[in-house]
Amino acid sequence: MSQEDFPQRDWRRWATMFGAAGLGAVFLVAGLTKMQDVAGFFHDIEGYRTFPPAVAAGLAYFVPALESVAGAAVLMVRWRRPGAWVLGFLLAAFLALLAVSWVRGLDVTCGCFGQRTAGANYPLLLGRDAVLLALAIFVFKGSTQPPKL
Amino acid sequence: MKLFQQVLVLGLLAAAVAGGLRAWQPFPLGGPGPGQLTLEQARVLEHTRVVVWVDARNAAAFASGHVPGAVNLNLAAWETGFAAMLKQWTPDRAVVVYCDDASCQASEEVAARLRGSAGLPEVYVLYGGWEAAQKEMENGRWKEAK
Repeated sequence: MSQEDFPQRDWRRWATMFGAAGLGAVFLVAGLTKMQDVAGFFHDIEGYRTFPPAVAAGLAYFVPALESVAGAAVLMVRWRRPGAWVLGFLLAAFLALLAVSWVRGLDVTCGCFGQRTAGANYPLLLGRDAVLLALAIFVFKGSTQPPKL
Repeated sequence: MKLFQQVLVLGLLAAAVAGGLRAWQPFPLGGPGPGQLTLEQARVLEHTRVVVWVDARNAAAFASGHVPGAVNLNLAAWETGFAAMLKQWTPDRAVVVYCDDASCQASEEVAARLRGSAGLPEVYVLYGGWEAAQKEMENGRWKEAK
């Protein structure tokens, strides 16, 4: 390892740390916001017309909890990798669900941060989730590097 | 600890949090019961049949907002409400009754009376009630069903 590699590795470590902080904060806020109105999030899930009511109700409880737990995990160095993995999995699922809903022509309420706005802006929602997915992958990969100094 | 085990731990922790959340904010998990329709099912029914909507809430709640074309019919003012409903109803039409939300009982009571003493053959209760219908209308999706 040459001395020239040190600044690059240092940059990557800081970028991973800031990326993890941003990613964790976004999902912690998203999860906690949805926890305030589980019934509202349940109706948002029903709007996707994909899950039977009993499954939608289970997801209305579990998804905000998983977002919050994984978001908090990403903020902790030791749990950053599994947290980023879970968030990446969630984001891939959200992207698939949004894409399918767009193809089906559904006018869904995202429910991502507990807001209730009519009319889904699919390109914006897909773009946002794609950026977050890229960030989750970056944080996951960055966290796998051994802490060499 | 391996990645898989750590992910499993996070999943179990999330399940525990979800359990706590369920205790904090309970709402019916079972979905529609016998004789009940989800809003989506009711809208599908509306595409193929003429549906008579019955609002089982009190007059003040009905006046503040209701499903388009709905008739206000509750046990407190049965005679006048029932007469108004019969103006819309014919034997080939289905009736969908709703009240405030998934936890209210007025719609079940009115539906039971319509099926029982009134003898109407096809009466459903809207699962989620006015709360679900109102969200659909606020989101601008109600028009699609018409």
